[in-house]
Amino acid sequence: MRLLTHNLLMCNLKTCAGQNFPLALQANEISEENTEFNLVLTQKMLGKLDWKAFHRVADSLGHTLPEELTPEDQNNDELMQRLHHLLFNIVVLSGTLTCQSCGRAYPIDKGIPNMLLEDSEEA
Amino acid sequence: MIEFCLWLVIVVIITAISVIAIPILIITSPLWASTLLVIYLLLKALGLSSIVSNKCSQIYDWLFFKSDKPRKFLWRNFYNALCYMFPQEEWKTMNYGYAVSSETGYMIVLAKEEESERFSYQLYHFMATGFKKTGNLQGQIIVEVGSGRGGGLAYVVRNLKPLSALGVDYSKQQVEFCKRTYTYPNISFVEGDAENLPIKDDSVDMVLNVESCHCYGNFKKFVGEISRVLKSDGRFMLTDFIVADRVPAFEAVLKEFFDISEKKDITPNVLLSLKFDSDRRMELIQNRTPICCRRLLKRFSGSEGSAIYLELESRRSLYLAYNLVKKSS
Repeated sequence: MRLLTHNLLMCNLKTCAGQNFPLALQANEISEENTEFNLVLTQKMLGKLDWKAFHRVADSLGHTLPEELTPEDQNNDELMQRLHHLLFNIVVLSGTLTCQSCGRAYPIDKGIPNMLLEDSEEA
Repeated sequence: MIEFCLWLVIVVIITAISVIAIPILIITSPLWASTLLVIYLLLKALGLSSIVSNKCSQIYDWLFFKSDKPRKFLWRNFYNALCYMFPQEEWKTMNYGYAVSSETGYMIVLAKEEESERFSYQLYHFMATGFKKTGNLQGQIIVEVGSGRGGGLAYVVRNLKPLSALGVDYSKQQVEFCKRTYTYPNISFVEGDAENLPIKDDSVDMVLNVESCHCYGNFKKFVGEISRVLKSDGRFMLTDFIVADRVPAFEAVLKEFFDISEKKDITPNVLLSLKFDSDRRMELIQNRTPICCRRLLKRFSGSEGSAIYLELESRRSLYLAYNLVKKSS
């Protein structure tokens, strides 16, 4: 699972209300890929990202990012390269995504988050 | 956990049948075979065989197309088994396809490696371009619900260039197949349920759903979920085969959450695709599948003469495509 994907995922448990996004990431195994840096793609992606969620998940992996992203940051080549790396090259192979509101944990195995609910949990 | 227990029970039953029941069945075969024969002849003589056969068809129809939980369970395990049996990467799509009315049925130019599944890719192209109205999806976050073997979504990423694409599917085997087959940096796949999407509100520009919603137990819940995850100006591109009598009820649910921007009856295009593609489908089933599965697979293959082909040809079922716009709240 890339951090790009994490930026869309939430807990959809019927009893869960409020803080069901973003999910807290516990990464047990990470691989790093080597995709070619693409400034335009990274800039476009930043326009669509939930920055707070991305900031928090990057922080949980030990990558400190600015609290807020300013328009000038988009021209900061070093920062853009770091963001590209975080968005596209970091792949979480195993771990868990945990809902901050209800504590439900979703396993990540072979790089795939399992977001399925048990019958009794469905809304 | 419940599913694990269910599978355990099934394995125990099959093992018990293999070890104990089969020898007993063979020894007692003269008794039960003759009894079955007498029952069959009696039913035939009394004209009841068609009633029994109809009842069986009704049970099949209810289980696969009308029930709630059993339908989800059956389709999920059907696709899991299918993907387990056929892990070959050259088979990437699972839909009945779309052909234009011409000598070849061709609508788009494809790469050589895409050619064998041309008509399935054409259906994706037709849907993702909003019925051939847009050339690309640049800047868009798209989600395919029921992404199956992922070939359609990967085609869209390669050719229509969305910003990112997420495939959600109920079948673990299929999601694993997608994860190892498609490695573009902006495509990803998760295990998830169409009726409980694990996607945050108002976050997606376009949702694709191609020949998948007939597998869902609760259609209204699914449509509500799509409406929830789409942005206010988001689009929902939906296509599937539907029994003609059920179209009004189907559309009533859609209209609760969406405005129908455009609707196309693509039944003739799908039938054409199935005609063009029939030999390939039959060859795949004949040469790549165990003999015990062929009858069931032919039923689902859509090849000329199959149950679904006849349904579409007689227009008892229609293949419909919708371009839906989220209703403003």
